[in-house]
This record gives sequence, C-alpha cells and structure tokens, in this order.
Amino acid sequence: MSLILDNANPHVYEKSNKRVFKDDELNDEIRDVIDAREVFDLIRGIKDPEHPLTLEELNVVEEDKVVVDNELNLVSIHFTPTINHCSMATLIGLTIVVKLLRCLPSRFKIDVRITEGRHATEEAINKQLNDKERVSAALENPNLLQVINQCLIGSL
Amino acid sequence: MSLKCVAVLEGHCDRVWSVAWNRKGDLMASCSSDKTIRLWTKREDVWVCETELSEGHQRTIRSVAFARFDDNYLASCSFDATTCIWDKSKGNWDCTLNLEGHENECKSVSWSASGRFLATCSRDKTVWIWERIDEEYECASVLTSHTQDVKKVLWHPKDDLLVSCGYDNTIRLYREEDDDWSCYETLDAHESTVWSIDFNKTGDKLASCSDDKTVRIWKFNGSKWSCVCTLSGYHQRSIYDISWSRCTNLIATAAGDDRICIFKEDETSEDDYRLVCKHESAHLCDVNSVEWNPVDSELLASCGDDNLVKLWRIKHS
Repeated sequence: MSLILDNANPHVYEKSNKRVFKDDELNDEIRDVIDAREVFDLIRGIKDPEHPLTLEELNVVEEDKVVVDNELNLVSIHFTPTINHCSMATLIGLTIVVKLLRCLPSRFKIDVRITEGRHATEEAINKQLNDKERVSAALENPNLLQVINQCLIGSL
Repeated sequence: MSLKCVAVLEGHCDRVWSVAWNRKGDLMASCSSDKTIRLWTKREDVWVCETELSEGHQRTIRSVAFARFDDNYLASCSFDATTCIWDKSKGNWDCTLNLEGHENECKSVSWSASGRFLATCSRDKTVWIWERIDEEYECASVLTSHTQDVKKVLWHPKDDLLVSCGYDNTIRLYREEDDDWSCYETLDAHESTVWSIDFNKTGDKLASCSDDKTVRIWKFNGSKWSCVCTLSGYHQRSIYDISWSRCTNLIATAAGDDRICIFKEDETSEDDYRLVCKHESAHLCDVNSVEWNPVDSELLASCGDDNLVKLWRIKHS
C-alpha cells in the first residue's frame, strides 16, 4: 500500500442507528426475507483499506444504495469512492463482494458496482468486479486475501 | 423440446468450471476450483467417477480438453499458469508433461484436429501455440493480438486454424503462413467479454457467447467471417459457455442466470435460429459449462458453481 494517501482528510459521516427489530421479525413463526437493511449491516462495518474508518463513516456505502430482490435472488450494491480517482476502488469493491459471498445464501447473485459518475475509471472497475473468473483468481492470491480479511475484521 | 436430468454427479468440493467429452463419448472430464479433475464413465447403467486426478496443479483448474486424435491424452490448464498433459497409454492417467510459459492464470486449452498443435491462453493477454514433436511440446508461437485477458482458445474442427476470444470483447482468428502464425481477422461485434466460442460440424459457422448476454452466429463466406444472427433476450446474466452439437446441429448455452438454453437453426431460412428449450434452474448457481456428447446425440453435460456435474437428455415433445 502506498504511504501517500489518496484522500488524506476524508469527510467523516455519522453512523446509522442500530437496527430496530419489529415484532414480526422477532417472531420465529414468521419466515422473513432478507432486506436491504440487513445487507447494509453486513457491509457498513467494513474498514477502509487506508483509514481507520468504516465504509459507512466515509459514506462509501449507504443503505439506500443497497437493493435486494428476493424473488429474483438479486443483491445489488452501488458504492461511492471518496474521490473520483481513488486507487483503492477495486479493492474496496472486492472486499464488499467477498463479505457478501461469505455471508449471503448462495442462491443470491451479487452485483457490486460504483455509483454512476463517481469514478474516473468506473466502467473498467465494474467490469473487473463483475468478472467472477478474475474475482476467483484474485481471491487465490494470499497477499490480497490477507488485505481483504484485514478490512473485514469486526464488520459484524 | 425439453431437457431431463438423467444424472447428478457429486464429488467436487468447490465450483466446477468445465466439462469435456472424449472422442468416443464414453468418458467425461470435469475440473474444479478444488484443484482436481474427475473422470466420469458409465458402469452398469450408472455414471460413476472412475478416476480423480489430484496431482498436477497448485490452483484452480479452469479447463480440460481431450485430444481429438487419441483418447489417451488429456490436457488441463490452471490458474497456476501451467498446462498439464495427461497420458493413459501405459494404463493409468499420468501427468507426463507440464507446460510452462504463461505469466499468470491459464484460462483455456485446445488440441487441433490434426494432433499436431495445442493452444493455450492466459490473463497475460497471450495465446500460445505448442507444436507436438515426438511426445514433446515446443512453443511454435506467442500471439499477442488481444489487448486483455484471453478467455478461450478453440481449433477449427478440420483445419489447423485457431480462434480465441476474451475480455477485450473480440474474437480473433489465426493461421500459419510461411512458418509463422498470425492473426488475420478480428470479429468485434460483442459489447462485453466474449466467454466462449464453438464451431459447427463443418467449421463454416462459429457461435460466440458473451457477458453482453447475447449469442452471435458468424458465417464464413469464403473470404471473411460476418455476423449473420444475434440472439438476445434469452439470458439475463453473462453467458459463460456455448456448445454446438456435431450430431444434431443444436446449440446449447450455459449462463449466470442458472439456465441452460437450446437453439435450433430454422429449417426454412438458413441464418435464423430460434429458442427450442429454456431450462430454468438447471443448477442452483451459475452454469459454467455445457458440452454435447460427440456420439450420443441427445446427451448433454453441464457443470456449475453448485459443485455439481449434471447429465441431461433431450426429450422431444
């Protein structure tokens, strides 16, 4: 990792409140579906690779940029790099992908993309994150996996 | 037309990337991220795993191919950047050669019909042509036309003519001229990664499938290849593999929407193709590969991210 930070003084946002469970959700008799808040909770605690802050505190991930379709088994996430030439964008996206692959049932298709217009090489990064063969090869790299796991420590 | 699952082959403990039949159609190979190759055959009417090849590769095995001149040879290539040649001529499948040279992940391997050549491709953007000389393989050419990760290489069913496709959205054709291999044509109609290609029986048509969710049919008019048909709207996610049956002329596709689709050439107008079967949830996760049996015309093999290999039979309604 470079010693010069891409964005040395990022704006820090407030964390969301803890999820409030409704009566229905606490009732074991009722089968409830996975919702956007649940998926957001999985990723909001992921650490930024450079700063001792979470993706939520940096506003890289937001609840309303998480879409879950239980009928079609789709989870779609848009994330927003703090600056539009962030060199860590692919790594951040990959970390979100890994977290969701590990935590969501395998029936879900996971799409992780950059919020439209928020990165200089958005298209290239999206293509790479969407190529499961390259993601799979990347995750066989022990050094990269170690960096990703570091970011995931403590993320719920 | 419909597909009936006739066998579910369990054994791999990670995603299965590719399936391939031998020439006789009585042996099928599958390879996986679990770093093994499994060889499946029919014993007393039941499909069983005859052999597991676990020595050979250090990482994910991405694809396998039986030699087209002799069923005693199998090639496999891996994310460990190497290609293994397996030889059964002495009784057991032994890894007799390990071809090195690519800088990183090797994605596909293919034998030429003549048996003289083997091709491999990699994320390092190159395609290598290996010439087989007395059981040894010499690198005959390193082709650098692609500008990105090369996903698949495939030889023409009859001639020593090679095709490759990849992440730069293109399909490229190569031939040998004056002892030198070169790319002589580039097909660039797809809008995203071209994952796979397959020729028809005679080799005058080529089908390609892509991350742009379309299948394209290309036809050779004697001097150039041109796209004669685009099939879109049948898959909702990336199409990872395509297989053109040499027996029935049917085209099968495998995709990230867990579906297998089958297309048929229209009897009345030659360059029209229509969907004749859409099998939803063929696997529980992405379907990574499909291949028609070369002899048993109604048998199709598939594999997926659910660690399974499946065999399907066509049912005519």
